[in-house]
Amino acid sequence: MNSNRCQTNEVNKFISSTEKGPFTGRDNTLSFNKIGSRLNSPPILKDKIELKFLQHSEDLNQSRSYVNIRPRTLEDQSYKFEAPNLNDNETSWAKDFRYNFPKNVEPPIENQIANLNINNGLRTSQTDFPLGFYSQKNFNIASFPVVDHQIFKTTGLEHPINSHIDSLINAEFSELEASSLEEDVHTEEENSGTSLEDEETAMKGLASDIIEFCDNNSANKDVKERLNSSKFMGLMGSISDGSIVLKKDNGTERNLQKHVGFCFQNSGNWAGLEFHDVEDRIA
Amino acid sequence: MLRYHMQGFSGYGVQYSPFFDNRLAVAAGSNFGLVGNGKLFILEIDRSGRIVEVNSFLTQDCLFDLAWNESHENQVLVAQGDGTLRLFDTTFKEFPIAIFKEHEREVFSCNWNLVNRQNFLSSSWDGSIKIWSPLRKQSLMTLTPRPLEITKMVDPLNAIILKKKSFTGISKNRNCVYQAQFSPHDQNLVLSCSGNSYASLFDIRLPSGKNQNNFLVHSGLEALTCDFNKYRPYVVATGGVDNAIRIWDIRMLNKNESATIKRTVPGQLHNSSCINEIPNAHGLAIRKVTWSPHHSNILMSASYDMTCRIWRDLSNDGAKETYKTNSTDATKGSIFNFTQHSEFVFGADWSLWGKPGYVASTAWDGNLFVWNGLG
Repeated sequence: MNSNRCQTNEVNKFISSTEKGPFTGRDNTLSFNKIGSRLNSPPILKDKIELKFLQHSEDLNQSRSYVNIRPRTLEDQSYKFEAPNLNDNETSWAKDFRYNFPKNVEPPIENQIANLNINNGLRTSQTDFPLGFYSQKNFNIASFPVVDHQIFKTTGLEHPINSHIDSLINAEFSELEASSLEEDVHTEEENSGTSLEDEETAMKGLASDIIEFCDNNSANKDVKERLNSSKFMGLMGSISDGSIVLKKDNGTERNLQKHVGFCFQNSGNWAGLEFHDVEDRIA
Repeated sequence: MLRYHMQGFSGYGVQYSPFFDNRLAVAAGSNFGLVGNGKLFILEIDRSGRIVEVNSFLTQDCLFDLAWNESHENQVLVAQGDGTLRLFDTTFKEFPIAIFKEHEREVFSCNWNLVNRQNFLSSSWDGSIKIWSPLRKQSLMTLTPRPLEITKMVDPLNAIILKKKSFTGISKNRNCVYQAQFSPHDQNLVLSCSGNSYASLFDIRLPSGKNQNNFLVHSGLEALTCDFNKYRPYVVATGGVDNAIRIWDIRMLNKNESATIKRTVPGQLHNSSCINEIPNAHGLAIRKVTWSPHHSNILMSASYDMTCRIWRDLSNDGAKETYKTNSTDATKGSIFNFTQHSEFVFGADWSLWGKPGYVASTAWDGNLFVWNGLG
């Protein structure tokens, strides 16, 4: 019975000492919470602690002498557990315990308890108490980096990309525009040349047709004589045989290339009235 | 006979001034109007009988027709080859006072309304007739003769006014409106003739689609000219590539000739509205017909055969219908044949002044002649 009572006391002591150590400075409320939390700890952990204690108790029972240790109280906040000085001459459970410890590959019970309880407690307290804080903090952290990230994206990524894209687009457009202009100019030149050449060909064909028609026409003799003496018919004949051609305008504006009169094929001189450009405006 | 030579230019149109008895305007083009500048000549006949130039306006493109402003003594309208109409003031120099540009092709004719004197019209190779006011740049109305039949041009001489166009393209001038005229009796009546051989009569008061009557006038060949009789409101004359002059009574236009009703009588050889015909009036195509302002049964024609002729309409004796035709007459009703021109005659006009019978004619030879065809 005495042994049972002592066993219970030791367990409580260890628990108390373990509890006090890492939470020094916390208020009583927190301590009670911790105690409550401890009391509600899983049975596996509780049984494990008891087993350890029981093991050491057995060792203690096997010892030949018993050294009485001053009990700690809750009021003694400054008390720290320390192993007694051991001598080769002294024998005690402490010595036996100490000697047995190196043989045990498991971590020291205090460390083990501390690890188990403190870690659990810390995790529990962190999980329970600062939940709102963590949530808020997480929210803030999440928000802040997101904002920063967005800002960074905006300033660091989007803007450079846009600038780059814009420059690329502008360059591409410039190239397209230049090539388009060149193509337009080329097309206009081709079209202008083609159109003018077509006109020349058409005029020549027309002249030939008129000559042929007049030759074949069944008009009376008087009309035929008039046609033969006609200057217009003479011009048609000259155009038909190629001695007179349409004269192109030598203006600088390519778009305004056009025929402006007739000229002699050989000399290029005006065959008719010289053309005068008239301004298109109102008086 | 009086003569004036326009050096380097071919005459296309001539008209006496409606305000001055001794003033004429001539529309001309260089290089026979095929390519190059145009020129508007303002001429006067002085006391000694000489024709002198009082003003002239050089234009960028050939001029095909002209019309005096009937409400302003100094203004002349011209039809230009670049698709524009230009209004010149004879007291100004160089430039027109207004430009009217809506046509897409050469403008072949223009005519001022003699009744209201506030509108003029133009007809173009683009197939449209436009009615304008000199007070605004946009046209008031556009009339389009509906092409009823596609015909192919036979006489290539008419191609000479198709500047710089391929001969094969001549067959595409079926929609070309060679001439359009206001009626001198009704300000809302317009007569036109087209390359598809149809004449079109428009009543511009009627809505589009119901405002025109079309009738075949020259056997499928191009109709080049038309004119209203000055005394008989319902009588018109046309001339075309078939070398014939035909006279029509528009009161008797057959409904079958209407644009909305196709002809269904295959045996019908002649239009019932044709009251007279002068077949082979000239040796080549008729380029201009114009009724006398002094006689109800006398008209003049100008042709590619380089002559101008004065005709008497034998279907009317000046007072009533005779039901005769010129084709049955030995002389075909010819009164006078003017042969002084040496090139195609394009323009002719009767003088309103002086002794009846004075006319002015102009041709591609650059000459303007003033002569009397009625003795």
